[in-house]
Amino acid sequence: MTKNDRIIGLVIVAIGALMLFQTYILDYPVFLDDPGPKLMPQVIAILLVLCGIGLLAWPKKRVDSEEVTTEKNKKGTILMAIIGASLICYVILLNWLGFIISTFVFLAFVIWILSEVRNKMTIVKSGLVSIVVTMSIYLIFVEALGILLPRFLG
Amino acid sequence: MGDVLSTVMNSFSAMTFILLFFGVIVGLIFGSIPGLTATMGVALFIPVTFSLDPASGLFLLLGVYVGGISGGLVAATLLGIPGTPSSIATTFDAFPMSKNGEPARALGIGIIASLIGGVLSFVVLVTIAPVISKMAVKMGPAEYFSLTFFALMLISILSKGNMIKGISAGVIGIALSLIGFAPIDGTARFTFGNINLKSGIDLLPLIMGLFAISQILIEVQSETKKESILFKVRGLGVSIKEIIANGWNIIRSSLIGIGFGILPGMGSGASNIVAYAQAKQASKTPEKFGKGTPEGIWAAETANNASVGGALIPLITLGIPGDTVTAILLGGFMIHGIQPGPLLFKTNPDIIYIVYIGFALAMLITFFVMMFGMKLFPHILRIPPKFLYSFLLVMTVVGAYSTNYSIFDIWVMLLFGVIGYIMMKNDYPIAPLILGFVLGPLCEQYLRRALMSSGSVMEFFTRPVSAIFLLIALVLFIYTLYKEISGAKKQPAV
Repeated sequence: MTKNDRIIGLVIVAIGALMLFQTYILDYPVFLDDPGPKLMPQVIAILLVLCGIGLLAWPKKRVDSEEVTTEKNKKGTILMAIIGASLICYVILLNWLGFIISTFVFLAFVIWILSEVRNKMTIVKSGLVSIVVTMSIYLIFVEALGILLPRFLG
Repeated sequence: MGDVLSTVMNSFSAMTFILLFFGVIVGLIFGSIPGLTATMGVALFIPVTFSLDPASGLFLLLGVYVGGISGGLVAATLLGIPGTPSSIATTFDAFPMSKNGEPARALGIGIIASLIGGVLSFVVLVTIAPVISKMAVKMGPAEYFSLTFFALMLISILSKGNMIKGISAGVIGIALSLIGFAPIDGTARFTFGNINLKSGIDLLPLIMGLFAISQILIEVQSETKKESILFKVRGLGVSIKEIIANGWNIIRSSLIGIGFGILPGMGSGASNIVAYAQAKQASKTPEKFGKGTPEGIWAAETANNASVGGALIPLITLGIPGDTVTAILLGGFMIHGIQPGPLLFKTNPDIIYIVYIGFALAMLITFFVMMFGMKLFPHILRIPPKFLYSFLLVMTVVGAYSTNYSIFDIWVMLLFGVIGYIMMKNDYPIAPLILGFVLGPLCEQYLRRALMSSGSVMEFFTRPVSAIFLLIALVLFIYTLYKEISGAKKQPAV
């Protein structure tokens, strides 16, 4: 178990405890002979607490401590964070601008940022690919499959 | 019977073949590209089936599933990287053979082996499924509870990483499934006043987050460089004589595959490795293994495809999926109003036949597409990641949104993307979480029904079938716990 596992263990214990607390303030109809909607959550909450304690108390292995924690791939991590952040922006934009505009912007940006060389040519290329992909997805889902996608000002 | 067949025949059209063909191609692409899996493919294509009728939807999903498991062979042979976990053992010999200048022969063996393994598992599926479903109808809620519990325990213990991590993931999955209206009485639980949570967390955003988003983030972070692929197609070089010479190897590996497919928690990911190890042990020339011997490819590829038919058995007869991809298939069935389980043979026999026929046709189509499309494989592997990942990210957003037409579901997906990322980075298996999430509500229903009808917990221990399942689960738990703790002691902390 690594330090991260101990932190995850703590989080799981906390979630279990919160669940257990929630079951006590639950309001529900009582049927004859029915154990009610509290039983399963209580069992699971207790199991969560036990699992969390298990993660906290599990013996440390040699293999764990030798774990390669040196982040040799800083560039990759930054890239990943950018992609994650742009996904969040994409979902926010989706709500305001609808599918077509926000998808085009998102795709163009992600293709551009993931390109090995970034110059004027890649901007044009990412833009063109994004238009084609956005329109294809839109036509397939909305026109051919009849599935609704977010629209401009929804 | 006649009625059933005529209904099944009516659901066939040119469209069926187009959908299956399309599904297989999509599956092959997902299976071929390292980082994409059959699971992700099936999840991403469930929304596409929304507007199709149930039969067509199932054909499409079965195509993606079979294609996805088979496609792993391509990257395993040409790059030495398993395209999916089901082709890990394929890399051991297919890649060396390919490096020795025979990539087409390695692929050819793999393709034929996949077909044979698939056909054998199909035969077992068609013969065993009706028998199991007949037995399953006689089981009560107590037996079902114990069986579900047994399945969950097996999955948690057997998944990679250590046992406590697997069990934690499984329990978290069940906990997540408790959000929203409770079964039987409809009490809203753990919604924290949020109206979007009342109907619970949807399977699709959960899976897309855990499998697609987290995987793509990890791939972007690791920045895997493309490798050059040398590929020349020069005759297959697979003779009937060779197949006969490998007869026993093929049968043994298929049986291992089917068995692992039926048992929850193992599936094609484990079966190919076990079959490979067995083939090596039984071989007259074990020293050739790992250097490009055909025997190794025969073993690994029959086993992983045989697992597909095996995994369909508990899914359609008991409604219990054995691995993540069948869990998602179950989700796909349910979206179309089909509840797999023992009653399916009575209520929707046509669906059973559609699964049989869809599975058989998907295997045949996969075989032909792979045989004749072999020259195209290197091109699939050359798709630049920037196009692939950006396109897939948009597809996950579309998929999550289209389930309920709600932006909230996309946020849920992103949250699970982060959770999946943390889990993968810290070696927590994701399969138990998905299975816990899918089986949790069933578990609760059976538990409550059993207690309602008998009023005592002893019900689970006094009914023989139920007691056997619980006993096996307990023995497995104690055995694994003992093994892991004694293993940890042998390797003291530094």
